[in-house]
Amino acid sequence: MVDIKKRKEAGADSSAVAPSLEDILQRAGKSQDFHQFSPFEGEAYIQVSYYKSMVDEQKLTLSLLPALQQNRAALSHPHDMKEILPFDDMLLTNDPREIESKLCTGYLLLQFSAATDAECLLVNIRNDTLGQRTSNDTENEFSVVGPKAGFVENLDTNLHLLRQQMPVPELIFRELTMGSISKTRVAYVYLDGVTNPQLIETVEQRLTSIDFEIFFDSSQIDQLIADKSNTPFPLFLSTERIDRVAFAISSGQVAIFSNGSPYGVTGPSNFLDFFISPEDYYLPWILGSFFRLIRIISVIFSIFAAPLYVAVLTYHFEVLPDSILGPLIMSRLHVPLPPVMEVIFLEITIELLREAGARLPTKIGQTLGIVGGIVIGEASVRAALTSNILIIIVAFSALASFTTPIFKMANTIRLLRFPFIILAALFGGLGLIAGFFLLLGHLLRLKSLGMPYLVPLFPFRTGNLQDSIFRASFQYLHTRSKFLRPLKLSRYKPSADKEDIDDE
Amino acid sequence: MGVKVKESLQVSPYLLWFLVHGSQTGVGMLSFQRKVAGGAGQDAWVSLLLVGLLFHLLLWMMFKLLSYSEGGDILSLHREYFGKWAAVMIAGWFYVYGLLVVAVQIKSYGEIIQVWIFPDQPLWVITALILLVCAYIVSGGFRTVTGISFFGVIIPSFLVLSLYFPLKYAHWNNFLPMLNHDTGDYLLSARHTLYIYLGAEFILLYLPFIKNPKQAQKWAHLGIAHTTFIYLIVLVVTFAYFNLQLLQHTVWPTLILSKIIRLFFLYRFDYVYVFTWFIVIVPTCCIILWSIVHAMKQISGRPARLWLWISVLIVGVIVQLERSPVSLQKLEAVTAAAGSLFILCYLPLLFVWISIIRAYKRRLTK
Repeated sequence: MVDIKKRKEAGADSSAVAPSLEDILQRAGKSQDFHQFSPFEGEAYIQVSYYKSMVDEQKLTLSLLPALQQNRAALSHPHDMKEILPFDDMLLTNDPREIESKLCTGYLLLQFSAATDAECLLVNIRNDTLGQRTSNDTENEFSVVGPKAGFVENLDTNLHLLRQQMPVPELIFRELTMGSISKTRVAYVYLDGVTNPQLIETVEQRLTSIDFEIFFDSSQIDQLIADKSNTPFPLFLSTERIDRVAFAISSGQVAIFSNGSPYGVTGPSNFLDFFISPEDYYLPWILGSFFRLIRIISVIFSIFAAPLYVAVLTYHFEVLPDSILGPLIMSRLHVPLPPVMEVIFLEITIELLREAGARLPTKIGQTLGIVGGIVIGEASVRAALTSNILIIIVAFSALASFTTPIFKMANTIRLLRFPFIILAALFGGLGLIAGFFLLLGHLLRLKSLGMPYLVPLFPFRTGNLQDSIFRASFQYLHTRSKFLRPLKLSRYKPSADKEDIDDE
Repeated sequence: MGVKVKESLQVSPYLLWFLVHGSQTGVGMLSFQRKVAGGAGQDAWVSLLLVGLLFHLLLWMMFKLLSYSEGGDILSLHREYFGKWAAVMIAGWFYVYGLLVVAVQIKSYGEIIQVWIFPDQPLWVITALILLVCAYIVSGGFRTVTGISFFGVIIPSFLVLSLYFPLKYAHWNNFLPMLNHDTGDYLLSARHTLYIYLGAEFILLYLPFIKNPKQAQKWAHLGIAHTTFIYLIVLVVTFAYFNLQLLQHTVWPTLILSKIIRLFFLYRFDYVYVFTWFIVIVPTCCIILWSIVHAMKQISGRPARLWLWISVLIVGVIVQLERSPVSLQKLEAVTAAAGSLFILCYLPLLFVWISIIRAYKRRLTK
């Protein structure tokens, strides 16, 4: 106890007294990728310091050193250098703290005098693209129609991609540095004059109040800024698709990117957002609406099909007509397990297959499909572990859970099935309906950045339904959703549908 | 107490429709026909309509009363006009009455579950399940309770369509001769009808949580009209399907009506009915539990969560208290009497009394 306290005090002391430039360079020198040299022997005091692992060596040898050599005579003051060097991101400072943090992120330090409090020049020759992948295909959110390009791990590339999509001055990027060790660059993006300023303030405030060590992915930020952490539901939508993020920003939402993560986080999101696929908008509205409806129905099916099987076969077989009951009994004739064990066994098998498939390399993954589909399916029926009908139900509900376009929500739906199966096994239909109401109550309690999660269903908002359970024609999608409280409601002026009878 | 509710905690006025309708309809709809037909027979629908109209008048009275108070609920009204102890008394009365109503709802539903579906399931398990769901929802606050009552009205609405099937066997001459009863019979029917309309009076406790109460009044009236309409069509279909003698021996006529429905994949539609009724009774219990818990929190200054668990425990005990075939009827009778007395005697008296005080004060200031 005392030890910790002492150490804490010591830590506070060291942060209170600013270290000198010399201390900093000494500390950096402990690491072997820290290089220091003087380009000229003797004459003037010039020292170059940098982390070799962070800088672009080409910039150093092809641009910086030649410029220094050509202007040997004029090198008396850092101000002169600033005019001469062919770089855009340079700054003069004598603040040791700033120098330290900039050095670590790939700046090069130029010292012109041995005095420790003299001004030095920091030059940005960071190598951003080293070690980054160059392909930016969307890997997990695929669509047949529509763009295939997605975000990558590099923040600048991502912001470039975004501004390319929306080249207007209203698109604002705000950057923060987060994480005490990772010093991750985090940017939030919004559309000035559209996004509600209150929302921007909330995002800014939540982001700045985070204290965290290392950020690996934007999904950590997503969890840290969530209104409630005790929920299986994702409160923010995260996507690697450029069109999704651009659409969210243009609707008046805020997007958050972090360096090192190919996923953008957009919010505030509502429940129905997670069942929207960009393809809904690239297909004619009739098809788009149909597929969206299929997706929503498949979610309901995926959650309730197996529990319903358990409830009916355990308690309520009298609700089924003889024509259905007969085949059910026939297929369960040799199964020794009670329905709930049977369902849980099969559901866990499917989850195992999925989990194994996700961990295995793609080429082996295909074999897994055959093993899972044919061997386990066929064999477990032969071995009388499950009934044929249940295999169909469970396979269908697994398929149905994959139709959800957002991975996080698909995972939630996978999980939700299990409490429902248990409730159905304990209380039959009563358990199912109680579980449904608990789920509804839980969804009603959730908020995303202060916005109710179930909007526009509850609080019921008319005028926002044209893009919810179905997608209306673009003729009717010309306004933004009111519940996001955007400053400008109208997106564009729709043109009237061409009436045949008037023209022909 | 008396502190204005923050606007961010309030809900839109139109939701009062679902709150009022949701708190009125409960387990009573499954069984009210037999008792209602006791007095005026095939003409009982007249009494039903009259009580509906009476509730419009009472609702108007409640809104008028609450507009006289600064805090906007009945507790602050009592405190402002009669002092602190009157507020404590009325809160206590609402608390006991609310617990009784919730207990009746749960006990009746538990009985239906036992008779219809799970003869072997002990009552306390069913009670615990319902109460836990209610407690979870109520602890989410008024917004969650409102949301539940919204969905609790929307989702079961499809059951109205199921009334089409009994109508195929309707005997419309069951209604003849029309209007051949005397006033006493109508009043007897009306007395039994009153019970199924009860629940709207809890608006006296939660109205401060509605934005713009003046504008909300029309939605509350719509809620009562909705209730009247639903009860009316259920009653009319019941009378068209059953004859009065058969009805006298039917405990849950609404469920029997659904029993004749056979779909190609579903032979027992009444199961769907019974389970869907969970969605009808839970909002009722939640609204009432929230209202009384909130009232007790205001009066005592103790945290609402404590009161919620105390209330849930008491309801559980009341449901378990006496296990005999007539215990439910006794409980129902006590609750109905308490509610009727409050809404028919105390409320009008209070209205007149406060109107007199206000008139007197106005004259004084002149």
